[in-house]
Amino acid sequence: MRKIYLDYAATAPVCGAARVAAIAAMDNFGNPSSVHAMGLAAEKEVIVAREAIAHAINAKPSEIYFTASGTEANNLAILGGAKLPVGVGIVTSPAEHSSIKNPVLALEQRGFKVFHVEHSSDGSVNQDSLRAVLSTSPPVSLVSIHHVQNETGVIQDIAALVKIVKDLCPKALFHVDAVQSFCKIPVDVRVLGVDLLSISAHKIGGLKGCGALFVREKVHVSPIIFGGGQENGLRSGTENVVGIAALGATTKERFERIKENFEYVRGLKKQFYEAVKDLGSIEINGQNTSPYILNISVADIRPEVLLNALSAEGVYISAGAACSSNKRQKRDEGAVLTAYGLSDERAQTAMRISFSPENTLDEIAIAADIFVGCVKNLRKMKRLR
Amino acid sequence: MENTKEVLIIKYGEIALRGKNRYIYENMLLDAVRKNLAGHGDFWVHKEQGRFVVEWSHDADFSRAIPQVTCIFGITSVCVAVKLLDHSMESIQAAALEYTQAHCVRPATFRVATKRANKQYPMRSDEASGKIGEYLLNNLDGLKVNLTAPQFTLKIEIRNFAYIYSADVEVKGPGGLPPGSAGKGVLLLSGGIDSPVAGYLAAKRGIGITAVYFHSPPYTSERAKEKVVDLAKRLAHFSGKLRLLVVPFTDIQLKLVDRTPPEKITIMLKRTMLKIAEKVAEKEKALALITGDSVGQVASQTLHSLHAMTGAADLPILRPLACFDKHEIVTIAQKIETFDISIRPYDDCCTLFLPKHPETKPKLSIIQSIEGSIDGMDELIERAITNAEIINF
Repeated sequence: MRKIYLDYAATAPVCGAARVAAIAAMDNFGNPSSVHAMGLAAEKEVIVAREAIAHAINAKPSEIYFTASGTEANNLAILGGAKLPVGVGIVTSPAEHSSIKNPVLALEQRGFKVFHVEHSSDGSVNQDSLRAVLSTSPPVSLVSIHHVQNETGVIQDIAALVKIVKDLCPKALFHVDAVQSFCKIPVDVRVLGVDLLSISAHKIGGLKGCGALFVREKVHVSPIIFGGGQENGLRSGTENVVGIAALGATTKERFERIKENFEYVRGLKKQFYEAVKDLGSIEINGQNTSPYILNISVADIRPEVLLNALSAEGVYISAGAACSSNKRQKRDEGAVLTAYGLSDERAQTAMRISFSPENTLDEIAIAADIFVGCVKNLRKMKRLR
Repeated sequence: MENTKEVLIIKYGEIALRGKNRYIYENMLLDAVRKNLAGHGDFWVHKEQGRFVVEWSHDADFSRAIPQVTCIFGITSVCVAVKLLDHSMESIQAAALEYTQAHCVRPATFRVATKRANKQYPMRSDEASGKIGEYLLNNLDGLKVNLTAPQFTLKIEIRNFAYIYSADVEVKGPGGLPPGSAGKGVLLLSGGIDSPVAGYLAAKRGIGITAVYFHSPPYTSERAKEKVVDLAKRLAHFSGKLRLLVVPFTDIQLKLVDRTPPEKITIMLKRTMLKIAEKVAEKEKALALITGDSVGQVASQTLHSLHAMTGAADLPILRPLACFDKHEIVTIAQKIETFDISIRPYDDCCTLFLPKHPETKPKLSIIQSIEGSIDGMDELIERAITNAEIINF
């Protein structure tokens, strides 16, 4: 059976460049901290990757800290970035990934005060609500807002949000979760003006188990993992040289083609939507979205059922985010769309289709056909909706 | 000491009391013991009256071997014992001394309990106990006899060989009857908490298990199926060989949902599942159906609802959990380690189609008349059974 993977926002296959780099790095098995030549060879792998990532986001190599995942980068930013005596306030969005939500919750339990900005129905952060929160809250030490929302693909105007924060609360750090935007849409830390920014390797063709946090020069973040003092003391633990080398290689390749890929993927998304929209009662969730993510609500269809039906036909998509689908408590279902003020019905019928430059036009045509067929089939069984 | 060796003694309960067909049960139990110990070194098992003795050719890893057998139904206890090739009184006394020195924290009160299965042995049990006890008192400090409530009980068994162990090292087994010794039953296995426990209890009474799971893609996911496969695998740990049939249920389910008033759908689905299970039982030569029903737990398990199952199957339906509270069921599920698998968040076909207001007092006559009005069901059932995926554990 032909497999058509359209769940790239969950994870992506390891790309050719990353494979080559990873295998080469396996031979450089020395410990980057070792003084001898083999240690040095391994360290070089890390240096090259650090430069590639810094280049891709217009940062300095010394501002890049490798972690074991995007989740860890987010945790490090939240737990290490929010601190007294700057302020007890943390401002975040209700549409954040669980790797932001849960460390924020942990800080709330330790006495920090958490404030949520509001979203407009198009998915964008309501800037007035950010202003209001910042002017009425106790001193805020950290603001964390995603760049591209992982379920809907909505792109936030981070530069504008940063400006508001720096005007009203100059001491607060601004963290952005850029896991879904890195190497997909332009991410320039100087233009955005952010202090902290998280990325993940496996969303762009790197290996799982590798991520990084950008920490602006002179910004102080406290470590959450202690040990041998690697990564300038911020993230101890022998570097995952293989994962880092692969991340460097895929970053280089993806960054070079970022504009080209953007246009191509935008075409795929449009093609898919055009092919399925005639089913009727289909609504796009979110506006000003990343071309890499399409979130649609298909009326009268349970996402998990459609997902199973598509899976049986070799088409793989996601209901909301894969990370949130194995939660035991289902009350969280559709939390992002609910935060946008959309109806429960719409939130509970939302599906995420996410694309990659690796997808072919042909694949999209076939997948859309199968999608249409499955929805029509399921809609026939009216009583089963 | 030379001429001694550490062995595993396995004691079994009820079946030792059986009559002429006892050997059949013993052999079933023996098979189960051999199956579970496979991969745990080079061993052989010999029968003594009411016991199996397992010996290893090299050093045995008892800490790994014991849990492999204490889960087998039919076994009442297991212990590591010292086996003496020579059962002269002098040898037994010497070995008893060595064993007591090693295992008894003195000062302590003690007693010696001898069992003489070898009636040729030239000494009665109580005489032997006396002689061994006396020898220990004469050669060890800090011992005092207490026959009623001793701190240390030294057990001596005189059989073809002699065996020495203490009451402290005995590990309890689960009791019950050997796997498969009671015949076979078909278990309706969902992904929930109750049905694996029902299967476990049925297996405890020696019922061999064939499990049936109803799979309704796309309404139930591959992960829901995977969960049931994992449950069946875990259940096989206790039940011996187990066969799982994954029966494709979508067509049947869609037809039923189409033709049944929503409040009655769960009862109709359950009756159809019983019918299919019975057909499977026929093929598997099984004599009973087993379900996880617990009276009053949900709408489809009220006494009225159970009554509305009448006539769906002719075979006896065993409901081992009928009178268990949920927390009692959960306790067993946790003990047998099916609980964590059952609570994985993937729905089975019943929960997905659950009506808002299911009927709690369905009338059998009405259910039967709806059933009668749905044509073509027999063919669908036949096809589902033919297309079932079979997984053997």
